[in-house]
Amino acid sequence: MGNAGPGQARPLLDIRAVSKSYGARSALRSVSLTVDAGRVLAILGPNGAGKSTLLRVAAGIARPESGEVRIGGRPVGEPAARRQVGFAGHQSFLYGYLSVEENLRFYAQLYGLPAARAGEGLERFGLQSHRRRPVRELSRGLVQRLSLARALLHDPAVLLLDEPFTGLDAEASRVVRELIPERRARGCAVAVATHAWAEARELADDAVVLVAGRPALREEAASLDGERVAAVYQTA
Amino acid sequence: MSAFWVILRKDLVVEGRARDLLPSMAILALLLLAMTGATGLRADAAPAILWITVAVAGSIGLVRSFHQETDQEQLHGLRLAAVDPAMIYLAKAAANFLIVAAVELIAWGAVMIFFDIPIPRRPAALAVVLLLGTGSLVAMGTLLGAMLATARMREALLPVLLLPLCAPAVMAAAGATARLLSEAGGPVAGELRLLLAFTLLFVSVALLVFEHVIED
Repeated sequence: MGNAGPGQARPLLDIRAVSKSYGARSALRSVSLTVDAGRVLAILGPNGAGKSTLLRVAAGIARPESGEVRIGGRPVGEPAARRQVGFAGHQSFLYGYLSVEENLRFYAQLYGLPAARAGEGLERFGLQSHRRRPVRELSRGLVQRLSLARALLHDPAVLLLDEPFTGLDAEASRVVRELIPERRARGCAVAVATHAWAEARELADDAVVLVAGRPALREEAASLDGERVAAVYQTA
Repeated sequence: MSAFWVILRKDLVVEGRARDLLPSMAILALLLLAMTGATGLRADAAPAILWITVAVAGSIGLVRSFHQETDQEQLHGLRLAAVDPAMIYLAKAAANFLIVAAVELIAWGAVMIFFDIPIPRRPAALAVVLLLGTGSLVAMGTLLGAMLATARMREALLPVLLLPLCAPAVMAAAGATARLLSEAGGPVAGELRLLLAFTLLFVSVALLVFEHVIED
């Protein structure tokens, strides 16, 4: 996380003074942050802190009241910018009556990708033996793996993961743990919302703690301290 | 393949497997027609009954057509893939049109049996009336279905909103159908123009506002 100065490359993900409310409740209050290529940002915070809203705004699927989001220098509202984003959240974006393979083929077609990309996704996430099963019959862990395969189908430059470890089995957790450093090595900008500071320290380069829709703490993930994070949570 | 065809094909595959819309709409239509037919109403009431039945059964189905795009926020998946909102609307409307048209064919068969009406003498003109009447219902119903997709009372709200909005189109379609079935016959160009105008108006409004309707 950092601010791009003169002569520096633009951050891949650039969130500027974003505010978002749901009715009378403010979910985000003038949040600004950036994620550069090859960096992983952990977004921590208690329930209701605004982590999911921040990722949804960053992905362009929720519109902020003020502020803007840029992906690779372009406003996220532009189709070319939006197509650089991969998003895996609480909902899978998958169709229960389509099979595992049909879901990936469907999204591959929407992105204008060859059908072979669906096969690569199945292999990458160990879903080949489940390829013909309807998604509605899959376990939570398999759905999460398929959701990640969908999010990465188009090889996005910016990857946004909302609580990616929630409800996962050991195999699916391993896949996610391997995925994040792999994306970093490929020059992706990754933002991960999580409750767990230990996960953030393990996987991220930078961390921001949101409390009541505002960044309450920003620092390198390696220096995260559980007690301090908990103390910041208490201010909610 | 364009996003339109990809989404349309997906919708039809999902409906073919889930059997979510067509059976419930067809059964409701058949029940309504059987009950009205059993009351001994004359055959010249059949066109109005047919169109009211299609509108009511259609509204029940259309309210559920967006459920498959919202239960796992699939609509956001489409938006992330930068699919043009107009393509999403048109593909959903096309899928809904095919489903409502299938219900209409079943209902038409039932009307011929329950009301003992003859085979129409101007089938091409009747086909155009059915096409445009169904088009106007589906054009507005698909938009309302999207607007109400996450509303708590959507099953009750969609018919309450759709039926008044589509009442002029339903009346025009029923009037034209009655004239095409009657012994005396008569021109239906006025009704066809009205139906075409409603269909174009509803589609245009939907294309203008759909992007805002599906925003979070």
